[in-house]
Amino acid sequence: MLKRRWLAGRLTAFGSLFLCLALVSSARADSASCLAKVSSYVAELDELLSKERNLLTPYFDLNERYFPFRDCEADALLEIARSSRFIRSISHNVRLNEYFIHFSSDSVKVGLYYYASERKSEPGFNTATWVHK
Amino acid sequence: LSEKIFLTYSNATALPYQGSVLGYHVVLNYIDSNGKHHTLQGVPEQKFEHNIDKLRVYLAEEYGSDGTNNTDSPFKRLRSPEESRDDNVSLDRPYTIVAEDDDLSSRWALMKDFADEVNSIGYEYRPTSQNSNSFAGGALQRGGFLGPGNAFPERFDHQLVFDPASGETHSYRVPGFDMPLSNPINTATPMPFPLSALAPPLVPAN
Repeated sequence: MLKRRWLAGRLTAFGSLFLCLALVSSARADSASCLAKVSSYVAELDELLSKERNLLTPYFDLNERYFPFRDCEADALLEIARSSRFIRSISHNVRLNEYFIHFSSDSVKVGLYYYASERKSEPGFNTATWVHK
Repeated sequence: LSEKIFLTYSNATALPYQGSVLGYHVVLNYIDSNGKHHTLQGVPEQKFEHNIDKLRVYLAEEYGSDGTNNTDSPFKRLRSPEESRDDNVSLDRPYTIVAEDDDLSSRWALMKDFADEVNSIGYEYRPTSQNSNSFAGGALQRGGFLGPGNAFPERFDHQLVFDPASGETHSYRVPGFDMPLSNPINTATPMPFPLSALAPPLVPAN
């Protein structure tokens, strides 16, 4: 009887450990795929900002293809954003734990808002506009 | 009263080569109870950098087209980008207060819905008759701030603007503000209710 209880305890512990490892690994995988998506987005955005000065449509299309971002680890996301040639500022709303990332060329500005606690970007993708209206 | 909805302005139309301001572009602003600053505005999809091009396309769309063909505007569509920042905006530039209340979030949500509908339905941009100010007027109407029984019962192409630098109130010309959006491009998009529909008047939150 004691032996059976001991075995059941070991199995439960092993199962819990396996589940935790699986969740951690899955969270890491989610963050990795999210960060890869952000990297790709920033690369395409850089290319667009360097050549498209007169039309907003490609920016809306780009955002529509990539948004929203979910499950990114915030510091790593900010690091990728900082690698952009067109990064202008990153501000942090402590109360909401939200980052506002601002990219801009001389003509077009694009905003990205990321809620670090909820690990997701704001859903709207119509965030590109003219620097001077 | 912790939340505010107000209008700010930028020079919208200057005479090419001469530079006089003929009108102002309206930006809709909302400061929420977290101090977060949201803006909504209408913009053309296509922009022209050189004065000669601006003049040419202005004449082509406003005088060469009667608006019946809703896909021939050189400016393409009217779009409504949205921005949110945590920049503690101060009212140090000319502004018009629309509303101050403990909670204006539902009003702003209606205005954002209007912007989403404009983006998905599509309206061609016309420089003076269907422009950023037409969008602003429509959004305010949807938010319940314009129309009968409200602080602004009618849509005019002028706004009273307070200039904090001089302490004076001026009348700014905002061409297109009085013109409702018309002739939608994507008529297949279901509209929850007409763009000109009014929201109920603002009810104090106490």
